[in-house]
Amino acid sequence: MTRQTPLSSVPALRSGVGGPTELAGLADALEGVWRAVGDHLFGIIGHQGVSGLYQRSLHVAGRDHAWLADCFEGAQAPMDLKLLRATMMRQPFENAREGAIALLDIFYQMLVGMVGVSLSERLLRSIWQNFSDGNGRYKQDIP
Amino acid sequence: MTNTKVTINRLQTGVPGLDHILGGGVPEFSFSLILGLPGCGKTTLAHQIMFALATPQRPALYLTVLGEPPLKMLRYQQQFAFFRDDAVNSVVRFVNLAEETLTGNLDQVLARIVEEVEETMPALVFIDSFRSMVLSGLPGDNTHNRLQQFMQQLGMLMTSWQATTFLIGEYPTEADTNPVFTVADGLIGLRQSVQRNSMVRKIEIMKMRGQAPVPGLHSFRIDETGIEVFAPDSPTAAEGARAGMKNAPRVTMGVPQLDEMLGGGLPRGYSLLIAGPSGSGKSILSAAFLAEGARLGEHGVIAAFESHPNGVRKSRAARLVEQGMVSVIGNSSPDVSIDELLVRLMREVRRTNAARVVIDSLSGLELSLAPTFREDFRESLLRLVTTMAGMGVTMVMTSELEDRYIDLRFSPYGTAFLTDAIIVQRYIEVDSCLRRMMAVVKVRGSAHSNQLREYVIDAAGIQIGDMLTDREGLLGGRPTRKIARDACAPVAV
Repeated sequence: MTRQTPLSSVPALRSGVGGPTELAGLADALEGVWRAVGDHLFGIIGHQGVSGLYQRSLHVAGRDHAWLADCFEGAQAPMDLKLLRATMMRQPFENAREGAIALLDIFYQMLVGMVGVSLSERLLRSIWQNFSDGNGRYKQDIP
Repeated sequence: MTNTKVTINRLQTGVPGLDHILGGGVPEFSFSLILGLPGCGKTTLAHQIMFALATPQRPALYLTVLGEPPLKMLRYQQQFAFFRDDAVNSVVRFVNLAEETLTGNLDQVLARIVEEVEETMPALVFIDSFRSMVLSGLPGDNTHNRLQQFMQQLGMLMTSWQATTFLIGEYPTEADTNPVFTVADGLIGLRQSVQRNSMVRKIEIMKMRGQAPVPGLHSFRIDETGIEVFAPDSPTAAEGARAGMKNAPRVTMGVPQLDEMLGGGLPRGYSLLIAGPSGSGKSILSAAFLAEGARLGEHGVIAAFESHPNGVRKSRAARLVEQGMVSVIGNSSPDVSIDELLVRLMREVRRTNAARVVIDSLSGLELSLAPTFREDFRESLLRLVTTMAGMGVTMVMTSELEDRYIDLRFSPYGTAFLTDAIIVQRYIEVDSCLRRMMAVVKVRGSAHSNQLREYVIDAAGIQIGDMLTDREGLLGGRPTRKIARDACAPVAV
């Protein structure tokens, strides 16, 4: 099915982890999305700015997804994607997928809370363009 | 011989009033410092300039270092009207250099700046803040030398890349011997001071190579639109020509008997002070002046500083405002400067081509000024009066005057000498009644009546009657009957 809704960061980021149907693929996708977020935002708001929002997102999402709380507690680095991946790999697929989406949603909300929808979309645009074909379709929807 | 000198292009900053005090704008490819203590508006000024100047042909690079976190900076700066979301990541690029700065290796910081400049080819570069960047890499006591060296390298780099550069730093703006200041082409100092419950911000162009900035401190304000600098410019040539018109018809006041007393109305371009105690009809007379202008098709501007603006709304002046014949400049803040008032007056006079201006009252204006500006009240008022006269505008100012009956005073501020004409209003006691009298005290270079005339205020306005010829001692407030003598002769020029 092809989505006809306008492109925006939330569905685009979600789409980055929406395609895979097995755990390893999901972990790859999630790590890819977070690396893209880091690559695009580090330069603008700094490592501390991005990792601060990431940690806070883990903390909030961890209330409903216990494995994300474990990632928050056990972080060895400011944005510990290795721990995220390793913890995810120990979860049932559906749990992992829901948690991954929740984490991205909350991160986006945090960013919006800081700089507003318009500027957030502006900052994340180049990321979600990586996950879309430029015609309103997300890559996992493209046959 | 062909002129082979380079022409310096001056960039218009988009900050109202700033280009004027800069001497025409920011010289292209210049290297300027924006200095001031935290909270005085440096980052806001830099952003406002950047968003005004950045275009696809002239992209901007904003390098954030230590200090205010970029997330917060973006959060707060986007509240200003000048902040354009659509410019971010297109014509404006933000880059955070905190990681490089934290290493303490200035060469690494410089290398990263070079990398970013080479990649984006910016025409405008902002570094916020360079001081924290430099100090983070300066152990020991070699600060000044290293700072100067770094600045020179940065300056060379930016100049060779033909980028107009602004370095933002938390330096005090007092004349410092810091060698950094000698490297820069321009020094823009911001400062703020708090006195009682008012905060006053001032800007100074301490240096701008290749042009002549307006010297001194200029007040500025930050509101939702950004920064506005209040530095009145000079009247234009056309305005000067209007002011210098010989034999221009006199300005009628809307009270025929008063026009007679003034010798046929007020000479155009004059300033008139109406001084009198509370309730004597100063505002009513100034409203009559505006109404007469409206009747003749002349637009007016009133700067209202009375404490109860409702009074203005219900008055004759209010009806003129509703009709669009008079613009109002209200008292928007408790820390206004006369320069701010003058800039707003000039803007409104130019916008509406106004010929008449009223300031009601000087007493309210003085109370509206920040304490620091009250010290220069007379000098500033002289500048205002002179500028309005230079624009060919006829101005009426009212002034609260406490009736003392022991001395003849026209203004509590010693401002009477500033104006070209003075009308004084007073209360007198006659037969146990409080009555009003008016006199024209002065009309510069013009014959005028010297009569003390009784007047009443009714629904139609001010009605001037006759002299109280059977009384004397009117200025003492308690006249007595006298033997009739000859009427007063008019004052000769």
